[in-house]
Amino acid sequence: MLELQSITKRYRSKTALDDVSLLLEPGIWGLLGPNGAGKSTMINIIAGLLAQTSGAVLWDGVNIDSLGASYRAALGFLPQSAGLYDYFTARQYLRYMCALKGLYTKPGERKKRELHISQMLETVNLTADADRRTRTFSGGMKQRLGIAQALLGNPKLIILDEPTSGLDPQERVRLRNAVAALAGSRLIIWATHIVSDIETIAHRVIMLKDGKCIAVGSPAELASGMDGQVWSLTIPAEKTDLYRANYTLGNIIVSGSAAQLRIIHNEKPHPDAVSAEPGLEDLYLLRYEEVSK
Amino acid sequence: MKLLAYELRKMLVGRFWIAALLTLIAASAVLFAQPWRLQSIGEINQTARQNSGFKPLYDFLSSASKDELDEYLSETGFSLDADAWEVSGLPLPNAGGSGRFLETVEGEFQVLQAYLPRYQRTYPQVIKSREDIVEMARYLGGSAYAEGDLYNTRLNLDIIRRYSEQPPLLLALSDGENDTPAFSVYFLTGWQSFFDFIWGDIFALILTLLVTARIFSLEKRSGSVLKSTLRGRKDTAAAKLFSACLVGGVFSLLFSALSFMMALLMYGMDGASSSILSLTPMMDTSPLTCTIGEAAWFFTFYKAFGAMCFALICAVFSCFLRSALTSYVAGSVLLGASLCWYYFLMPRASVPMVFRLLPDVTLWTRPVWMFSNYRVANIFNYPLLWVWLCLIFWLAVATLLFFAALRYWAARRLA
Repeated sequence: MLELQSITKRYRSKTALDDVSLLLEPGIWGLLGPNGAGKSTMINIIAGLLAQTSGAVLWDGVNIDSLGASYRAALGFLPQSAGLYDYFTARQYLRYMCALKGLYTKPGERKKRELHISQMLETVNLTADADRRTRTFSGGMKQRLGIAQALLGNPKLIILDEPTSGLDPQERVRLRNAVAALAGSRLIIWATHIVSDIETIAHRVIMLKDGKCIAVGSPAELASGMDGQVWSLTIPAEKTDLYRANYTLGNIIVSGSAAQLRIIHNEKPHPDAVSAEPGLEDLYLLRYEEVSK
Repeated sequence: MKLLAYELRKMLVGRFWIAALLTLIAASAVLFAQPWRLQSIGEINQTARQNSGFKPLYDFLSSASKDELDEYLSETGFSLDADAWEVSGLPLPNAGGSGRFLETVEGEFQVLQAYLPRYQRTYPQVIKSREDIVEMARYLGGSAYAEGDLYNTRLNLDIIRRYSEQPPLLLALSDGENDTPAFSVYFLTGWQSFFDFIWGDIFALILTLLVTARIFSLEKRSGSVLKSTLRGRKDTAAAKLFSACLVGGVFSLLFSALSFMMALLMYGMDGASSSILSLTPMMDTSPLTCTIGEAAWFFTFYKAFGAMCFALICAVFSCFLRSALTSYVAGSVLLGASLCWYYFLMPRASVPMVFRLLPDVTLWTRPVWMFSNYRVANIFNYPLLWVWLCLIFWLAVATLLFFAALRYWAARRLA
């Protein structure tokens, strides 16, 4: 169990995180927020890479500063940029990460290590490219290898910062499924600004805005707060800009001269508007649209 | 060990390093050989021993007893000031190349001549000057003792102890009293060249700088992952620092080995059992009494230690500055400033030794100078040779930097 106690992080005049307190139990936690909301700051503080200005991070009730190496032994981390070594093959890189994580270091554990590495490569669909140098990898492949290293050793706490960036839709689905299967008794924190990444697999979602935690709950709970605020309306396509200026819009589907709008508003925007089933994305748009407006 | 191996691999992988190493090895070999001094490049492969014309003289001088040598010298009328060499008694090469990188046959004699006057003139002087040093130390030590001057008493006792010891080759000269041991003549040009050649060490430092000044900054993108792992902090930092030291030491040994090979091929390396005092006049008053061979090992490891310290400093720059470019600049400034420091301050005897020596990270490349004289500092009323003080100083600096870098890298700080 991970506990954040009044975490504040200030960079000179800017407050990146402002008094955030959270209790994170095992499961998949989505950390949602636009760029600059404080996600990476929070992730880096939880990963022990960044010192908070005030507050404390507790792992199973103990401050992570006191835990030190034993906390890191329980941690799998994928930062926004994993930074691979060009001259390592994927397999060599994972071997190096095993050495860094202190996994299978005893004599006679080589076979176990190789088996585990093969499993991780399979999980991220890199088996066929295991012995290629990483400098020949595409961005998506590098990202998948980064994910594989985070999963090495089946850590109890997995932190993934924008893990799907650079992945194609097929790989995103594959990763989502792999992470969902891993959850169990683990705590997985998945930071993203892409709602669809976590909407279907996250047990709980944390929404950050301007360094503050503005909402915490399951996707269904959060979306239910939007009941009666999401509308579907079909209008002539040329009037789209008028609605865009006055309402928060979700998907816009243009078909011929007509446009079907998904409008997020607390009142019915037009007599012909029909109430729609709210989703997490609608909440995201509403909350963060306010920021941009 | 595994982390160390990985760090070495990360540090050294790539064709650039092989190219840089080969380029500097070639440059070092060229500067050692100075082929522009050759009459013919074809002479490079000839060694002193291959020069059949000179060999009989060489063999004779190598095995001659003192009496035989005296007789030979008087017969040959060997003179330092002669415009042309006139030698009788033994066949001498009178045509063709010298067989070494010396321009003419005359060069052979210039090399050979370096011993003969030393035998005739310098060795007795060496013995006499050492005796004088001891005598003076007895006198000054006695006065200091009478005045209760503890430091100067200890200082003079130390001088007496060091300078009373007979050096290996000089023992052979004290014939008449003992069993008249045979006097050996060796070509020391090879050793002299080996000890004098500084460029190999400078190149080793340059290569060390190039390799180690990026050791932490190459983790700019991967540092977050590393630091989130069990062994990614202190263990990894220690592995990086140790591997930097290892690389610095190995480069230094490599370039020393290259210099040795070049000297061996060009001049031969006879006389390893001679006293280090016979190497150059500069060593006449050296506190060392070991043989040239022993000194060669000692100086080589001494230089390697210096390269390891320099490597560690460059690695620490990389850790603190977090950018390869700034680390390279800092390392280059340190290396360049040290060399300038040496050339600017070393001739100024009025500048205290503490300022002349301690800030100079390249002093390790000049062991002959460092050991050429009895230079001591007063450390809590005990005399300590500056050469050991420098070693202790840099060891302390290296240890301090090692732990500072370890602490810095292990702190909660983004890479």
